[in-house]
Amino acid sequence: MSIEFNTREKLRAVIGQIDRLLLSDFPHTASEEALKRLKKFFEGQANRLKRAIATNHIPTIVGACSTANERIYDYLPILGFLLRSTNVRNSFEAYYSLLSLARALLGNDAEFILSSEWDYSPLTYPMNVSLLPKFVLLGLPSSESPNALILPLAGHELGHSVWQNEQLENHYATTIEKKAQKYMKSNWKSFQDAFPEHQELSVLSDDELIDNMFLAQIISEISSLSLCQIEECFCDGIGLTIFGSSYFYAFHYFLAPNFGGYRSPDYPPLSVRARYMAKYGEIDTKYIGFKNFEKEFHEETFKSGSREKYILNAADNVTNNVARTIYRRAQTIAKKKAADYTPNPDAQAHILRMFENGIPSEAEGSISDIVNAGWNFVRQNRDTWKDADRPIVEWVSELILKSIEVLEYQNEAMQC
Amino acid sequence: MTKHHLNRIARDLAVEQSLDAAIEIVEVLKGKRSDSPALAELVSMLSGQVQNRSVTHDLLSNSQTASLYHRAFAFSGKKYETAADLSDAVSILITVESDNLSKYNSEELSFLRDFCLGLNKELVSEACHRVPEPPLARKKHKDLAMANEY
Repeated sequence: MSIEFNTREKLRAVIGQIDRLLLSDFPHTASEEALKRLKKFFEGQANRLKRAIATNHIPTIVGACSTANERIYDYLPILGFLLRSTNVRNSFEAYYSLLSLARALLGNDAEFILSSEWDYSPLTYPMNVSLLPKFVLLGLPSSESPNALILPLAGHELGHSVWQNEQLENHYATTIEKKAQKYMKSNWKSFQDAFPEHQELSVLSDDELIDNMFLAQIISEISSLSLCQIEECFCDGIGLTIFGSSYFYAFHYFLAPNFGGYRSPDYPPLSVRARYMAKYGEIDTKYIGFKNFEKEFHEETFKSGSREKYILNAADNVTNNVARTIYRRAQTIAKKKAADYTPNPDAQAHILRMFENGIPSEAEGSISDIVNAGWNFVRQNRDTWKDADRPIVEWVSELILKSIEVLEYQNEAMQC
Repeated sequence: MTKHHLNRIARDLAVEQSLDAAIEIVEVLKGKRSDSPALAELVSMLSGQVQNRSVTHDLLSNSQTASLYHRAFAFSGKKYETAADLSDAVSILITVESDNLSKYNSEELSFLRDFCLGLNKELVSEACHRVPEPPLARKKHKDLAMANEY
């Protein structure tokens, strides 16, 4: 059986699957629109394969088959995500508030899709959905779907879309590369220890570093990792600025002390992320109940040889050099574009009083004020709460989600 | 000064652009057409809209771009040890007149086609390793393989 035949059939199967998904009942139009775009994309792949086959040039046909395979691999999980976005398990009460937050940050043409996922991680897909540039796809772990206290983590995920929308990768790429070169030059001995077969190289000028293709490759790898890491820092900065102290609590709830296993090189170590949050987040972590926020997170390991360690150390170092600047940029953007969503202590205090009386809030405020009040309620009552009656998280989540619904109703009424 | 940088989205879009360009160049080689709009689009994206020989140095002064070109040319067995060596090859690409490809001989067209296929292969590989959003705290051990492959 030829690879062309197989690939054609695989594409046909994906398009058929999308057609079946399009028969679903969609709570919001965004999922349906995304599916239509994906269908068009895969029809384009099928057409491309047909043209490649007609060339009769084997490497071109192999390229078309390989591309189609990769795209199926990439997008099948997204089709699953879109299907699960129709599930009633999702906290749809928060949908419109998160959509309006997304539109404040990204523009009025932004679309938002919420789903509950079977990965124990909040996740977003802007990283590879280049054909859905204005869609924010936010998945929350299914076991935590009813827990409104983790909604601040949506701030981090929205940050990825802001990063792209503001073209910040392009903005910081040159700076990061220069810092990677500087690291390499000032840590030349470490480089030689990691790459002993290149002992003959001496410390070079910036131009020479680029001219040598081997060194350019190393610098490229360091820069790529650091760009991933600073994007994560930026997203923490967005989450913190929008959600304030509740971002600390949600981050801590979800991640501390760590997940075990190996550290991802695309992220700063958890404890370092925590340190940046505490240092640059404009919130006194002691005041909100953490003696030492960084120490709440335990070191993760990174299994690697000396070459990989060298590259990762370099990337960590470069990230550390720009972390403060990145946080400032996140804060500036969030405050400028989504000022109405940033925390308001008066509103939070008012909402907390309502929660203490067991009723949802009718106060003016934002989704972040409601979630912050929810966390404060938990902090104040968790030690005396009788879980046998009803778990406190379940109780407060219901209050939060109902308050968000009331808020949405008020906003709609104001617009009318 | 900020150098031209191919971000994640541009690299992802270039997966199909490079393949389309390769298909069109093969069609030119077979005498079925004389232009390649996909190649024009690809070159414009790679060069940041500017098409002249003088930008070649700027393009190669970005390590990520230089590394990508290097790996793409390696597809057809062309290895360049230095950016200066790579510069001539990139110049051919940047200055190509994609609306009149019939003026190029088959060797030149094959060179362009192979670059496009090499670029497609590299970008497919990148896309495949670009996990949608790894868990916040951990993921499976990722090899920083480049350092070991060289």
